[in-house]
Amino acid sequence: MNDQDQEKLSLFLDGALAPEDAAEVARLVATDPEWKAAHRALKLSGEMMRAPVEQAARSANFDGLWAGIEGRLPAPERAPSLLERLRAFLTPPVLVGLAAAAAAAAYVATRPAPTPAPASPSPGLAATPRIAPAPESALAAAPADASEPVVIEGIESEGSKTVLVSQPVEPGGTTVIWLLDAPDAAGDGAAAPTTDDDPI
Amino acid sequence: MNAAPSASKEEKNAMSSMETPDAELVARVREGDRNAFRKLVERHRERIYRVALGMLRNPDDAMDAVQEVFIRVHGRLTDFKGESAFGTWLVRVTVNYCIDRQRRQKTWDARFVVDNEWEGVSEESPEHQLVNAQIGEALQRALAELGEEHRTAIMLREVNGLAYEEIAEVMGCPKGTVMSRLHHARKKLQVALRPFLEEAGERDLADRAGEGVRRRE
Repeated sequence: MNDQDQEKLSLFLDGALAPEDAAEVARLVATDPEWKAAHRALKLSGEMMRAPVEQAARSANFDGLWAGIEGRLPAPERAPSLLERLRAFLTPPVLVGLAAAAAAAAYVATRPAPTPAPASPSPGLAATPRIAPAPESALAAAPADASEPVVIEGIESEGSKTVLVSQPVEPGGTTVIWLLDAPDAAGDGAAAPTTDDDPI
Repeated sequence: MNAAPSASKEEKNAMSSMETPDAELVARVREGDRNAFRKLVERHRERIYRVALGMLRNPDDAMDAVQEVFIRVHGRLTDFKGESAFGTWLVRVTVNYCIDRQRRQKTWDARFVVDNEWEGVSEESPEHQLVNAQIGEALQRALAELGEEHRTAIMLREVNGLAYEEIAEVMGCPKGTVMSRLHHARKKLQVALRPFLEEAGERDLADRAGEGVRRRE
């Protein structure tokens, strides 16, 4: 048998030969002692490789296999609880931001009431120290739908004359109070806001 | 090509109509369904065990390999593109794992062949058993002397009954290379076993002749 014959025999064993070639090899295996011995050797080697595996596979016990595998798999992913989500959200930058927001809110809530500048302040008025708001009774005298500033009273503080102006924004709503220096007290006639640019 | 011992076409059709396809189970596993993975394990564990047993030659090592392979596969399911059958990919992972393990052990231990293979033929005469044990040892040496690629190819074909195309996919080589490796491996095995077979062949002929004489008597 040459190398080509050997290869043909290998293909014959695998059933990979064309029918005509397979018939020819089958005839040689049946009649030629050399072909017969080679065929027998290959068949036996295959059987001897398979036999112990088949035998062991028949007695294999897979009972504990899944438990062994499952025990080493990563934990299944589940939806995080509210507490876990909160913890994940409250990272240091977020906490700093929240603290800053809380501080700003506390400042706004506790700071003194601002005294905004009038919509059209008189050119001669200047900033003056903050004073207490006008009494309710005085405000009640103002018309409910007033659109023009209403001078409630003039007061003197630390030697300068100040005019207290009250302007209701809407009936029964917020009242904006302006403190303005009287024109004769400022001297230079320049208008100036009190302490805040934005009336509350 | 000779098929491996497996279910008939009708049985396969019946099975496929009843069972959830591998691809669907794989998709479910990717979504975190552990029960789907368990089904895949139960479906393929015996085949993987046979592949590992054929290569590692030790039942305990083979069972250990099955566990390791499935754990690896679970972690690498994102690598599975579905270009080949899941079962074939699984065999490929198994073969690679076993080759790595063999390389760590440095030598290929084929004692399993000698220790177990003739248990099933114990009804034979002591003389036959002795010859068979000698043949087993010769086979062991021949297999151990084969290169890793040739031994893997012959094991996948003879023990696991994989088709040429499957072996090619598992080993990542062309089909022609698989055919060449099988031819090479078989030639070596045949040379190793021939002396014993020639002797056994003569004895068989003598036995048959003796039976003929006894019948005539």
